[in-house]
Amino acid sequence: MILMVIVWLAALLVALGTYGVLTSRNMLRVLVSIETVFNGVILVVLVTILSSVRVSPSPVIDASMLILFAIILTAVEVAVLASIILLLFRTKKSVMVEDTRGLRG
Amino acid sequence: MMELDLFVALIALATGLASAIGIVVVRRSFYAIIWLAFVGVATAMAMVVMGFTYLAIFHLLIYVGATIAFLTLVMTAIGEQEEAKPKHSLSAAIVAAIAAVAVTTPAAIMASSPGPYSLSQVIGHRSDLALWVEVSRRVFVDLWPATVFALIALVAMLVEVVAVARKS
Repeated sequence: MILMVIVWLAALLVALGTYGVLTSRNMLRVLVSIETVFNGVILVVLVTILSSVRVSPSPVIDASMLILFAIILTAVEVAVLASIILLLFRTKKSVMVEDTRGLRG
Repeated sequence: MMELDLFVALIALATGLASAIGIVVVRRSFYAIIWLAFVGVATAMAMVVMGFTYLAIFHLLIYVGATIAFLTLVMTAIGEQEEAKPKHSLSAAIVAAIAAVAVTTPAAIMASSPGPYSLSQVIGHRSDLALWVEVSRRVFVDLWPATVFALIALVAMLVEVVAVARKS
């Protein structure tokens, strides 16, 4: 019952995050929506870890380390994307998705 | 105990739902960033319910703290922008629903079978200190290559962020 509530939370985060990515025209808002999806996905992984381990407790802690490193790398990813958005704003004077089409080859 | 955990899980569900809707519907990006912080808090609450307290603390300190700080910094740097309205559409909603079902269905099937819902039920009741010692041992002894890789990524991120922000 409790895990199902958390799965519902994850599903809502993934759905609303994906909807935000598809409908937003502001790059910052697209990034925020991607982070919402990430929050949902790590909950899915944690629920899967807890549900799949019945025999030995050791894999649970080992698998949760995966989430630990994923959190670090996502903070890194956000910093890099935020700095790219800042650079694009300096060159294009806009953070709208439509205004970055000039980057195409 | 289970009733309390269920109550906290339901609060996390309500907080996460309200925050995610807030991210999609608010007019200004700054408020979307604030709502993202609440999504992080809801995720941390769910982690606590599942017994991953160390992950919840890490999530709040590293992820919510750093991410919100970075995004707020960018928002401050670019200032108030005239924002176009999001292009709401039924097709986007259908694609989002399909994505959510695809991602969460395996977890839902596994979670529907009876079993433990918390880490403490899996590893047995041991003190928080013992758990922290075990987690620290995994991070710094057993998984030291991954820890070194993560630290290198953090340092590289700082260098890259400074370089990009300085336009060099």
